[in-house]
Amino acid sequence: MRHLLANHLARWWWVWALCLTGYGLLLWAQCTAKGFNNMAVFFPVWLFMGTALLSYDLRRGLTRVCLSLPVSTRELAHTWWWATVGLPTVGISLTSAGVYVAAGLVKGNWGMWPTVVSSILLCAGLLGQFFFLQTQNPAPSAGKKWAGWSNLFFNLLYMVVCFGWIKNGMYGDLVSAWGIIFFVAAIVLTIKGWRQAEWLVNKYAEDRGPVQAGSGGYLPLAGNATGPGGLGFLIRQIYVGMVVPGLFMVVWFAAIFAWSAWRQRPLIADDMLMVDHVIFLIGSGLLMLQIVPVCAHLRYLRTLPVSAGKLAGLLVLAPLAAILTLWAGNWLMMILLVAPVKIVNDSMGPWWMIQLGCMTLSIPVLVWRGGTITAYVILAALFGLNFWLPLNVTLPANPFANGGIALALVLASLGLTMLALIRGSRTYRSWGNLAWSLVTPMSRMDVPR
Amino acid sequence: MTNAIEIRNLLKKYPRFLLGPVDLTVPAGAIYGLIGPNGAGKTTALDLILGLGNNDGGEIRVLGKDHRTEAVAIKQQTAYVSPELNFGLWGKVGSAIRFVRGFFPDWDEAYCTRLQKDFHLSPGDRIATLSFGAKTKLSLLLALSRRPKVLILDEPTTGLDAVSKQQVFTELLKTVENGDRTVLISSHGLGDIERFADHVGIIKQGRVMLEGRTDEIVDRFRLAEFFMPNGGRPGIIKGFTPLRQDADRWRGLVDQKQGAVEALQAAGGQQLTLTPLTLEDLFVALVKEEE
Repeated sequence: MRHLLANHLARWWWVWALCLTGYGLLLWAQCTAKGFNNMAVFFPVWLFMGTALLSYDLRRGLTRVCLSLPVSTRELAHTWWWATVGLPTVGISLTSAGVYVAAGLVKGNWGMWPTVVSSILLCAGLLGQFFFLQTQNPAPSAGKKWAGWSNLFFNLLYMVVCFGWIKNGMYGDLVSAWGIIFFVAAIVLTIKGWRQAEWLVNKYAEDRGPVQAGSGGYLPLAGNATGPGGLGFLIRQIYVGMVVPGLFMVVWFAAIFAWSAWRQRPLIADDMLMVDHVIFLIGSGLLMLQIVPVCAHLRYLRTLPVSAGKLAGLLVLAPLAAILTLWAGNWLMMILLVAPVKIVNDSMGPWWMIQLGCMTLSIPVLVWRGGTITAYVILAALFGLNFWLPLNVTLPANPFANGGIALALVLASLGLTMLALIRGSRTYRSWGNLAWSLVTPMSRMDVPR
Repeated sequence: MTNAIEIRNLLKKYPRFLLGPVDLTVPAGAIYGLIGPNGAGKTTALDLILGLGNNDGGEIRVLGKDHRTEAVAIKQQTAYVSPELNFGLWGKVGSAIRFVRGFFPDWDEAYCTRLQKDFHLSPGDRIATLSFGAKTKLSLLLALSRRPKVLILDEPTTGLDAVSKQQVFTELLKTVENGDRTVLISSHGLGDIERFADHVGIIKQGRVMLEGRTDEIVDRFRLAEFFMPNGGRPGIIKGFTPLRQDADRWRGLVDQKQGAVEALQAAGGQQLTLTPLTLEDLFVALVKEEE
């Protein structure tokens, strides 16, 4: 197990270094910022990186390679558990404690301890992720009826954990009924994930991956193959892909706010500042989820009769439109469920438009550098800056000036994306072997094929 | 005969590689095979035609249009097939077809349907689970169904079985049979190139070494075997590339167009025999030449 774990860390240490550094910096910004509290609860979202990295390895055939070595299924499964959720939880918890102590010593701000302790304790809920990962990759027994029901039940339990994670983090309800439900559910899922870790190994051991030669059973074009195509199809794909899950999350957050507001105390504008950041997090996450796959297909998209300008417009404006829709949806949900219009409007701080414009800058970065380490470092820096600025820099509430800056940023994104499409060559390299491209210096990649 | 693709002084600089200056002429209605060792710059050259990256110098004209200023017009009439093209974003075969079809008003639906049958691809097939060969077939289907004037193929037969390979070349031959469509194909399958391509270009270390009609090029070179008595050496002869020496016996490549045969005889070469070469033999000899 030790050797496998060491190998995992040797391959992905830099991702964890980036994640923990980012987490630490955000927590530091939170611990030393004036204004609202409890945002730290969202920071351990980095823990999901463990699941993402394992999923990535699994899809590249890690299981079959590992099982050809003298390693038992159980040993492999538990190694994955430690790599995916165990060690990250320890890392996040230690970082939280370290930042809290550092902030206390340097700034004399010891008042953030409830948030930091919440943040550490809530990591326990994320240990349940491993079970969630298993249910997304059904085990050989999944064909049985009871297994389906069991998966459904535990998935719902996972939703309870996620809900409780946010709610408890935001309102410090760790010792309330919700807190107890949260911890019980988290412990149950953690135990289940550990005990059934072998499911995942068996599933991928049986799955030889993409080997289908085509179904052969030809069917006439129907269903998903009919209707309009072309750029409209892609725009819809990006827009719907962001708006549908985004609105679901927006409603979910509004429900948490509303539920808390009715049960505890009326919300004030300071609390509502968090809404900006929630939308920023949702928007950033969904933007990446939609745009990274599209950028990985630029090689093909550029062979189609679409000008670089039009393609740049699509890449920047379609997600922007989706995020604006989410913003509008969130505003609507907030005034319908949570607070009066004035409080909601006041809560929209001066930064939101600029944050939005800044978010679009990630698109030219991806187009310019593709799935390389350079791109991810720039994106992480951009994300951190975008998150840190509103917390630490006061901006006059001048919507026209701020809107102008946001517009300039969007125009810059458009211009830079177009330039990257025309001049870039990394843009068109294969993203297939992402790990290779991530760890290979650019000078070594710029060779012809 | 007009030219479908004209490349003049094409230059692309990388930190550790220089493509060009490249001059390439693909006649209209031809199947043109671009061959070269790994890392010679074939894919880079093909990419630049489609604007996948920016050339640092030179000019590319496709169907008489400039590849920079009239890129969209060129792509309306050009299709590109490469194993590096990825369609996973669209999830299913049918969705990929629907997406691409939207760009081409002249999309040949009947042909697309036939190719789906021939390639055993169903609209409901998940792209992520297709084999490498099936993905290549999908790429070909999406390219051929738009009935392009120019078809650019980068290693289209990689991962295909013998039957599929034959299918692909049958479709390519059909594509060019009426003479108004052009195929530019880069491949390591030199047997296929020799059989199907009427023109060929050999690229090495970023430069085009040879270009012309396939039969003329193959006919132009011969494998020469001869003896040089008393340990003599043929010396430097224009058009002769020594490949191997065993004592007095020499073996090398001769370019008949440059009068190398006569020059060898004049230099003292005895019992000279000339053997015709296949394109593959010629390619190996040319590539090994400087190694």
